[in-house]
Amino acid sequence: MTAYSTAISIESSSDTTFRAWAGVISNAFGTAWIQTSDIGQINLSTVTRPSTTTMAGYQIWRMNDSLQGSAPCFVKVEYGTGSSALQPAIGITIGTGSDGAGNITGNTVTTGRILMQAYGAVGSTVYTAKVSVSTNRICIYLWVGYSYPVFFSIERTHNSSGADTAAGILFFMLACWWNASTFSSYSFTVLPSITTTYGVNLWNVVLPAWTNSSAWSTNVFTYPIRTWGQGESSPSLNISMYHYSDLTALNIIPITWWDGIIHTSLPLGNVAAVPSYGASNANVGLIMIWE
Amino acid sequence: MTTTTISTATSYATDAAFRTANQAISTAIQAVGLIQTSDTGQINWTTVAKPGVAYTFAGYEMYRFNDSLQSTSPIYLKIEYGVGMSFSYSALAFTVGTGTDGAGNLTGNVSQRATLWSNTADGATRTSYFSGSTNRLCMVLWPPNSNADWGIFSLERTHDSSGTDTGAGAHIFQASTSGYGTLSQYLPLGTTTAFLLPYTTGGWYCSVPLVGSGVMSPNIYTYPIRNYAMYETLPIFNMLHYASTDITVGVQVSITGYDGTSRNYLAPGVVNTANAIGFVGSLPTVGLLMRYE
Repeated sequence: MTAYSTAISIESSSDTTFRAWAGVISNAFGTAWIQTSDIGQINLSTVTRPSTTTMAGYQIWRMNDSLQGSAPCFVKVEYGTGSSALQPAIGITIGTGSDGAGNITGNTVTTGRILMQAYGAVGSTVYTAKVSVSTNRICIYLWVGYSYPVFFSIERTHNSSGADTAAGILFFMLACWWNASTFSSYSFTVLPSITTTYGVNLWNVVLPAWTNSSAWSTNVFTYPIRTWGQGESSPSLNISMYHYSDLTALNIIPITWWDGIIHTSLPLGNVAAVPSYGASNANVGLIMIWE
Repeated sequence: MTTTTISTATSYATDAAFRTANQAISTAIQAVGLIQTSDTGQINWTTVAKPGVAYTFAGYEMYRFNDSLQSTSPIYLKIEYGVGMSFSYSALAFTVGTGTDGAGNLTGNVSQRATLWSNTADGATRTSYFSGSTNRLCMVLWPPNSNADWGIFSLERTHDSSGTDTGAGAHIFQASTSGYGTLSQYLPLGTTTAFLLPYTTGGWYCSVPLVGSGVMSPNIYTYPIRNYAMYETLPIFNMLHYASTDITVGVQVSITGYDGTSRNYLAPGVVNTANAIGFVGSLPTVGLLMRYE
């Protein structure tokens, strides 16, 4: 289990800067996942920055936990440019295998690739990336403080006690879609037993609509985030939701999650007016597990 | 565990019609397991007069749970019978509390009084469905929801992760076209009254996906309904939502809950009422399942 912050440039103004932000993501996966031996993977030391709306190359990563043998999870990460050649773009494809030539195989989501970008006038500012990763999960928040950050989370499904299960893989995303300016949310469960999976432009999370705070007595309450798969999915153990006025953004604190365990957690604040929750309350923020 | 149905009219031209229809509700509530208390001044079904003014209630009944938790975590339900927009239309009011004063007033922690009334009525006779036990009550009145006078009331205890009742709180849900529309409330049963959660209107705590259905062969998945106790509660058992293309109205199905226990549910015909059944997301149509055992 590892959680860290690292500097990350946003503007792909040159080969060097392109490689730099891509390297942050690659290093995050490399902290605990295993890069496969698929041929043709990107060389982040030599790759050149592509032109507009182009993916320069990919990596294939796999989980490295005890379930990987029986319930494999493979992720193809692509690095490229967005609406402008200056804008970073990231592609995520999740499945249950790879063909050795860079193609994800097995069951995956009907939309295939999830393509995201840091939209807008990216500029030369160096931002911070937040990474929380282990052999069975990853949660990355890129370009903290930028108007159009990119966030994604990948983890296994869990049982009621919080233990990983082989049932599926949960994916959550907050970003602008590739070559689009709309900041969106998306989520799905990849189910090994089901050949197609519906992704939805929503996270399955509901907060009380009558209040902008869930602070009561000595407690501050947070809310589980799910998606849908076979009915509703298990809640995430990577991310949860809260009323952002209740906690100080970027202040690491211990929180008891739905599994009854205290996890070191990082409230991220109101992440670009989180549009993904299923409640009529705009004053919400995102928490990522920080361990 | 008991179910029963009644067939009653939803509009009342006379005192007799008012008494007959509402006494049937009273009888059904007792038949499924709740106990009427000895509070004074409760409605007399042989003498009560139909109100002559709209939005008026003629009287009340007081009920209590009769389970093993009632002595330590009491739940009382006050039901008022009256008329809605017109003095010939149906109206009910539900209030839940943790005690009574013996004279028809709830004491302790008391919920929002949830009204369910009709702004129109065609006088037709329709079936209403009741399910309950010593620790729960669920009624779906006059479906389908295309009728202006339909309504839902559900009351049950909180549950732990094993599905066992706890003394923590009471889950209250109501829906109708009129009155409070859609309401949900968690009522803490402890002695503290320092914080009583407000009721939520306009939607129940239930999320359904935007696309597809609950079918993933060979299974059909349904969507749990929860409540707010500041935190997200475990799901209730009295009701579920489903994608209405997945289950035919009138059919009974066995559904396995989060606790691994299978229970019998009925699709009574309440479908796709965005104003009255709260859900988030927008499957083409969403229906209600009521626990029916």
